[in-house]
Amino acid sequence: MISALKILRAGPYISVQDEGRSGWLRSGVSQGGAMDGRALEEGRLLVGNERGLAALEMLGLGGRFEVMGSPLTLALSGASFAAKVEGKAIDPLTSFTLQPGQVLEIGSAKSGNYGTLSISGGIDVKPVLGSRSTHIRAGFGGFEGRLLKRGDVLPIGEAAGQSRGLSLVLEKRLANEKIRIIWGAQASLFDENELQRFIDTKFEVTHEIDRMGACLATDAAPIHSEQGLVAISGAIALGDIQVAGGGRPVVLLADRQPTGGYPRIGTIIAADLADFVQRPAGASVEFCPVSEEEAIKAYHKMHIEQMMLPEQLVRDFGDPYDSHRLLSKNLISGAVGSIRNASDKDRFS
Amino acid sequence: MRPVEAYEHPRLSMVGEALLIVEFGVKLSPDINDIVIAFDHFLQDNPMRGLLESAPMNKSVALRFDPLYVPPQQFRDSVLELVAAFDAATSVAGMKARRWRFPVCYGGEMGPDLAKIADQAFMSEQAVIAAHCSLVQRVFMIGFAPGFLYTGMLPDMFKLPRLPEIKPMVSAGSVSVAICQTVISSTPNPTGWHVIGSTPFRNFDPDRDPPFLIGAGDEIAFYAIDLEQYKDLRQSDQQGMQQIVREEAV
Repeated sequence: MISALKILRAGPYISVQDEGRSGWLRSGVSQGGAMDGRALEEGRLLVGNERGLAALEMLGLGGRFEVMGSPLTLALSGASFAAKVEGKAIDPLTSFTLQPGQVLEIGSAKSGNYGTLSISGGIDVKPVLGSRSTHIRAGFGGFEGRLLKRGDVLPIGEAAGQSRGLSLVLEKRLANEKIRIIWGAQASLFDENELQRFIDTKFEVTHEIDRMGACLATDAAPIHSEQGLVAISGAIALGDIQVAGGGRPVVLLADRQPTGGYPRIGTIIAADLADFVQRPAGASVEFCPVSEEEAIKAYHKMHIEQMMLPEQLVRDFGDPYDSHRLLSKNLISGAVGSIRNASDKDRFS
Repeated sequence: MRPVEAYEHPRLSMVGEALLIVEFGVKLSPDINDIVIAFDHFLQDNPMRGLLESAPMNKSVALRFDPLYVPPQQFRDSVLELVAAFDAATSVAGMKARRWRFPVCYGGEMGPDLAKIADQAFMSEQAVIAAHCSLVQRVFMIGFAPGFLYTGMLPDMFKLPRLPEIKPMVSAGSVSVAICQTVISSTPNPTGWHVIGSTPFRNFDPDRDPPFLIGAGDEIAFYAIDLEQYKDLRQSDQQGMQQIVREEAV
């Protein structure tokens, strides 16, 4: 039987996303895809999907979702959102099954920005340019090329197998206080003082955050580049930090314009991108330059952690207050917490 | 022979840990852009380990690769080997441009900034349109947004600075000029350029096969259509549209 997910109420910024598209940079299309790739992968494992299927991505606020057709297995990952079904709280990083007619209610983000709702079988929309990701600005991909709204009915693909009752028990992440960057090829357009000031400045994430980019603010004087404003357009990388005329940094993200002429002072390393995009408005950001070698080392570590994720799946016995599961969770996170002295940034735990 | 503006040795620079830029010259020029496009073809004929995609830009080729499979230093070395094996002059001589006829409805609501440009140049709008259509334009690159074309170079009367204020949104198909270049959009976009017309043609249409028609290195000959023709053409299906902008090898 065909399943669907009906949107009874939608937060302002919910879209269909997968791992993004590759090979279209020459036609002016950046990769797009999930803002927090790690969360997409965690959700995929929890609902037992093959790689490449699409999930829902929510910025700041969830919505009400009703299951139609046959039962669906779902899971929440990424930013921590308050969620419940029929009054009963839903744990993040734990898959659960909803019967037709049952309603999942997802509130606002308690920490972080982007939440992922994964569904067994994936969201069955037609891939465009090789991906189901919504390119909101250009209006293609995903569900009708747009953000979701009340009344939308999302077709759900056929699930690969049974997967309910899985939890991911993750080590608390040792969050980096500072976001690591590699200096940009155009860093030379800024003088030494300005580069040092960029590193010394504590920036603040503003409310201007979306899939295209994140604007940062500071009380300090704007970062200045005289020569930078005449640069000839070239390719922009994911995580590039652009400093335009106003001197305020903008971090360019998944749905960024793929080319630009404003100078980019540096690039956030791949391993720290998820941490950055999950910092909510008002959070502080400091940057720390690292070598290419260190960035690659961190990238490999991230990849290995992702490959090890299936090892951390724990079978759940259905009852969210089940003692066995609770015990296993506490044992593991407790042990890790004591060893690694995990920081308060537990939004991925 | 190497064009005077081109670097003797292309410059390699990394952006982050997964994007390598191979830059062939410092200025925007058709000669350097020729080399860029020839090198991009060369890359496609010589597959590289770890390369995810390459994209020709104004004066550089961007190479996105996966550093999990090839460390950046090794990737740079492989690119340097390719650069050494790349014979720019011969490759450029062997390239064939495709040419497209490109209908534009100039002025009025379709091109609100045309009158201002005509005034500044002490010319009639008709003369500005004739100037814009007079020379075959090269597509330097596609960027900024899906299917968004950067073409040039226009006569000096189009040597206009960008607008001081960004227009928050102009419609898909807008044809705009600044700095002796024309840009043509396929999707609604904000712009800092002067909008002089609109084309019924969309270089990007996700429902068409292929979704993109025009590529970097292609040539465009603009021709003027009136509002009636514009509306008719917007009605015609995309196959019909392909006939209108039909390509021909030059």
